[in-house]
Amino acid sequence: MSKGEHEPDPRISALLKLKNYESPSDGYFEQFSRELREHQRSDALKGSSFSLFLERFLAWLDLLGKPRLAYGAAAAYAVLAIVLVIGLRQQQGGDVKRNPFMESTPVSARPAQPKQVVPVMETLSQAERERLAAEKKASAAATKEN
Amino acid sequence: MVASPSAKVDPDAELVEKAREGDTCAFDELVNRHSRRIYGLIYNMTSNHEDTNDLMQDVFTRAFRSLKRFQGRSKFSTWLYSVAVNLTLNFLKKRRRRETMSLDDVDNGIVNNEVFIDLSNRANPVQQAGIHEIQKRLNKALQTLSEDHRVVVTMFDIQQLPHAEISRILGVSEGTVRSRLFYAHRHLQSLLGDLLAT
Repeated sequence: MSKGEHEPDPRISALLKLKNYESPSDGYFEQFSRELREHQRSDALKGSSFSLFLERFLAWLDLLGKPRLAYGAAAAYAVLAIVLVIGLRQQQGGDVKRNPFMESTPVSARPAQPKQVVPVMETLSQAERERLAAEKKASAAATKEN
Repeated sequence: MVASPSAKVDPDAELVEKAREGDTCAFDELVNRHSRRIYGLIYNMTSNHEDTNDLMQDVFTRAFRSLKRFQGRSKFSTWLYSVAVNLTLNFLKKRRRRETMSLDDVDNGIVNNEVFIDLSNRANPVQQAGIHEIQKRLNKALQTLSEDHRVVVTMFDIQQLPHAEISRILGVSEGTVRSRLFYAHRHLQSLLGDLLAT
């Protein structure tokens, strides 16, 4: 984009410059300065030891000059710790997932486990099926004759 | 502190160094130097004195706490401006979520400033209109701009910062600053056309 393409409108600029003359009442900035000092003092007193520690720790990291490396190392340690904890838990629990409901409920109060239905597989060969059909037919004819 | 070419010419460098070492008087001096400009920026973004006052406290408190992390890669004023812009934009986002601000709530600001009245009466395009009306319309028109456009208009037109400085504060290219300014002006023209000199 060229500079001339998007030139600001000088008439709008002139009109908006009028807003420079809006200012707060006399003494506002002196009062603001006082309030800010009081605010900072009370803030320093209120600050918990942990937040102070955190603030100093972050400042120290910055002073190291390589905060990204430090953050990266910290993140790597955290991930390693999480992986270790998860691994240990899995080792303790075996392959069975721990179910807090099952652990805290007596056996009699537990809902019945649904029975598994195994579908019957077709295992007869074509010849056997034909033989059985012929036998069935013959017995049916015999019954009819009787 | 990491020295950089901009830090060498930073008129605040000495005070910043002292404030970083815990000299509260040096920080007070920095507050005195910059509070008027920061007030102008926030006020023109929020159009509300109370909100501006609260945000001023937040900006300088944050600046004081973060001073040790200020690397001196930019001028202190640029860094302070970016803190103010970020906090103000976050505040405006929260305010927008909280309520749809009525334009009637816009602060009418200081209407009795003699210089303002004098200049307004002398200025040809605004001769016929009342001072209250002009101020109201300017504030309302600014509030209809998107926050990205308003911040650029505030810094360029009202505070007269150069494009390059605005681009450093906002972390965008100068082309983006110029483009935002162009579209913001076009929008303001449509709202304030009758106040403009022909």
